[in-house]
Amino acid sequence: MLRRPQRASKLHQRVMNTNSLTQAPWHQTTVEPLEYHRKFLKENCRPDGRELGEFRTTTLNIGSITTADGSALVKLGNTTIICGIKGELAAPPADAPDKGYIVPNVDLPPLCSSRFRPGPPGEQAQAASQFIADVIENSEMLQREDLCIEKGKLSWVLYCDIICLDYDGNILDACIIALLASMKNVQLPEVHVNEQTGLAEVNMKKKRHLNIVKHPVAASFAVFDNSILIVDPTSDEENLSTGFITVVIDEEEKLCTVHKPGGTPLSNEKLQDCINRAITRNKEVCKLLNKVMKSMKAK
Amino acid sequence: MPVDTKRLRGPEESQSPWLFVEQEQQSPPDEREDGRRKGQVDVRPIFARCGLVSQAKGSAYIESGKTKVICSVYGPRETERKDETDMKFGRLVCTFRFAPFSCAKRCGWIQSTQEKDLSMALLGSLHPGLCLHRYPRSQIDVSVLVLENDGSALAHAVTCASLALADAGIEMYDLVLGCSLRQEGSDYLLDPTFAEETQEPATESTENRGGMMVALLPSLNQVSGLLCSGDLEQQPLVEAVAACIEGCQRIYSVAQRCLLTAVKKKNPPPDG
Repeated sequence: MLRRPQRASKLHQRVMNTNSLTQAPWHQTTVEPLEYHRKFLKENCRPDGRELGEFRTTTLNIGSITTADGSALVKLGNTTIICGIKGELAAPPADAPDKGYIVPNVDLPPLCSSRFRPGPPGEQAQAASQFIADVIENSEMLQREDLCIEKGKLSWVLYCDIICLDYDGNILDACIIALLASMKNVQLPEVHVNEQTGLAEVNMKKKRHLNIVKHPVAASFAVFDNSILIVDPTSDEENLSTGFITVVIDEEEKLCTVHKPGGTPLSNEKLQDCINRAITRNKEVCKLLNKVMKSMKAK
Repeated sequence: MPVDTKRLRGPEESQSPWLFVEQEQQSPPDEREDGRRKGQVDVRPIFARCGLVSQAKGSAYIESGKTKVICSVYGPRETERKDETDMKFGRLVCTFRFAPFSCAKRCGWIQSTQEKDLSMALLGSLHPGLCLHRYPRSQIDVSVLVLENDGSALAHAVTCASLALADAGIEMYDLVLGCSLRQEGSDYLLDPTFAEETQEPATESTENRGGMMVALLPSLNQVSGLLCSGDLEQQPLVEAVAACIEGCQRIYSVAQRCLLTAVKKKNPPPDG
């Protein structure tokens, strides 16, 4: 699970061989990183041996944290994200008495990379949290009405805490997979409101899964040299790119969110390419998710 | 209460469902739930791995029972706070965090006083094991995150952090291993689970009840940290320290093997 995926394709080897033997790769990566990456992109491959439209190996582990009501660990190459969901009880919001709350928060602790400092979340973490909240809202992955226990009196709050353990680029894709997988894993106990006392009664022995109706999956792209699109950028590739775009799509091929924070403008065709790749990515991830869920049930 | 404006907030008040479950009063059983015996040096089996955070200089992960701890080390690098720059010694900075979902009750994002105390205890335990005079004017950052807390979190954090420091190639006098203990009257529970740490006592008397954590430099056989709470008499206290030291020695071989695997992976032996 923790092994680095280092698969050298033939193209990759060819590029490596074209480098003169006197120049070690580290020399180029530190002194002229952009030139180093360009050399690979010219041959339609990347320094880690991937093709331009290829994601890193994705691994998924569901339900490993027993203190959480639902949890998942996702690895996308080296990038590692853990998500834990805990349910709590609260009065429903005043403006929507038949709904519950979903509170997602992304944390990028100093543990995961030297670029983050301790203290309150930085801009990137805040933006990521908001992005996740938007995806939950737009995709309607679960009905917020399902989280209501007694109208106007009691409802569930799902605290979805997402922590990055290893930052090697493209955290948004990994966050969405982690969130989706842990949502599928959530088991909430049965709750009744006692009519006489008005207090909640919780039955921990009877638990039920959430009804996840949509499965949104994200695909992120980085724009290199204002023209080349590469999927699932690593941290190094992110640093050198001129633009980003994240497309979130559900299994019915409906767009949930397109997130493009500034950067290089993209043409119509390029955007269509991104969407097409996101559709196939959704199938890949759903397949993986089903496989892992099935292996868990088998146990 | 200061309002956290940098995170998405839920409702102002929410309660854990466990508050509404009727607690069944039951006296603690004579045997421990996981089949270990009281009064025996019986630590839970440990799984340890080094070098899994690709961005960090060194990192380690420990799993013991259901307790899961991850630690990464950055540095030595330039000190951030210029006023505290020490010309002769390096500065060690430790951060100890619980993930919000790591405990039975959800803990908040903002570092609590308990976490600050544990950070200090971690720093104190690791400090004697490091050759900080080799890193003048620099800073070494150790951050520990508890992913799941099923007891003895600090003890495992100490072990995990020292493995990460060794993995980062920081010069050390010795590894630092941690072991904790819970004293209940005349019996002690080594490497207690979360339930054992927090359970109500069987008897009313408060004599000889408490918790203890010992950090040990195993090959030098010196104690680098000792944390003790509660009410303990001299005789049981001495016995408890001895049991903790014995417990630390038990996990030494696992720690050594973990480091050996990590070194072999980093520098694979030449073929043939």
